[in-house]
Amino acid sequence: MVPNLWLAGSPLASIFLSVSFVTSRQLLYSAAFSPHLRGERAATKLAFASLVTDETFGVNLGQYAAGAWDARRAILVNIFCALSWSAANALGAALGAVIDLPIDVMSFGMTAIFICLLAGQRWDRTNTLVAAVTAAVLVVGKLLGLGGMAIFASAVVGVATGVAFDGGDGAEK
Amino acid sequence: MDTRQILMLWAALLVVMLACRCLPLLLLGERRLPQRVERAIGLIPVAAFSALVANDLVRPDSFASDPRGTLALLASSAVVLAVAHKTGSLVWCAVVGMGVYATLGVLAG
Repeated sequence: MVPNLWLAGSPLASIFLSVSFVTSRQLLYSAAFSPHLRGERAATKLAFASLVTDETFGVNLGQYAAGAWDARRAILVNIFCALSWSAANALGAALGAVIDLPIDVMSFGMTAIFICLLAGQRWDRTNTLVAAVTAAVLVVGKLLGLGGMAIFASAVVGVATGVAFDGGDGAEK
Repeated sequence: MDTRQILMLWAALLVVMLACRCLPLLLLGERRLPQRVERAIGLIPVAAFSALVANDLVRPDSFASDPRGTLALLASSAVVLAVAHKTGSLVWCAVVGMGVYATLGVLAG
């Protein structure tokens, strides 16, 4: 993102704010993992949290929800993801001109994983409302040009709606 | 952008990224939280996945500029949803999704 904005001639402050807004969704990811890493050492939490991505958030949270998952394996998932991302970047730089991979098709693999993780949630009325409100707010946010910030903002609105709906005690009103 | 500016930007973004990634986990982890906060944290996964899916699928400009491509994207997503309900497998969803999306992309021209 930084190189793209830089090449587009964006000022330094604009680059900083844009990347910071996109990063804001990590606040939610980090909070979502807090119940699962309760009791772990601070160093373990730092090692885990510093490498979370959209992809490893989905995979690790899915594994924690399914049970039989721990911080060591979650950190390994993060590290392997970072290594494969780095290797893929290097390969892409070396072979990108030779191999024509359809980027949109490859990207859809991750969308499919997110769809699977969303489908695997418990679908009571509160969760359905949260998902619907989040998606609707995200669409509005994108139409308003919020970009990466729309993910964070829509999720916050969705969560707040869910808490207001069931009173914060998980019992739907 | 000169080297000094790059280093300043890198350092500033590092602080923001580490704060966003680590502070909630460090601050929320070991204390007993109010029920509403615990409930809000429990709702984050469904909200985050919903936002990520919608972010990938909703492209405001593409409905007008590439309607067939948009339909291929939505149809592929519907197939993935069916696979998710049937198998619950992340791998099968990714493999089938990419296959269907690639096929529909070719058919859509």
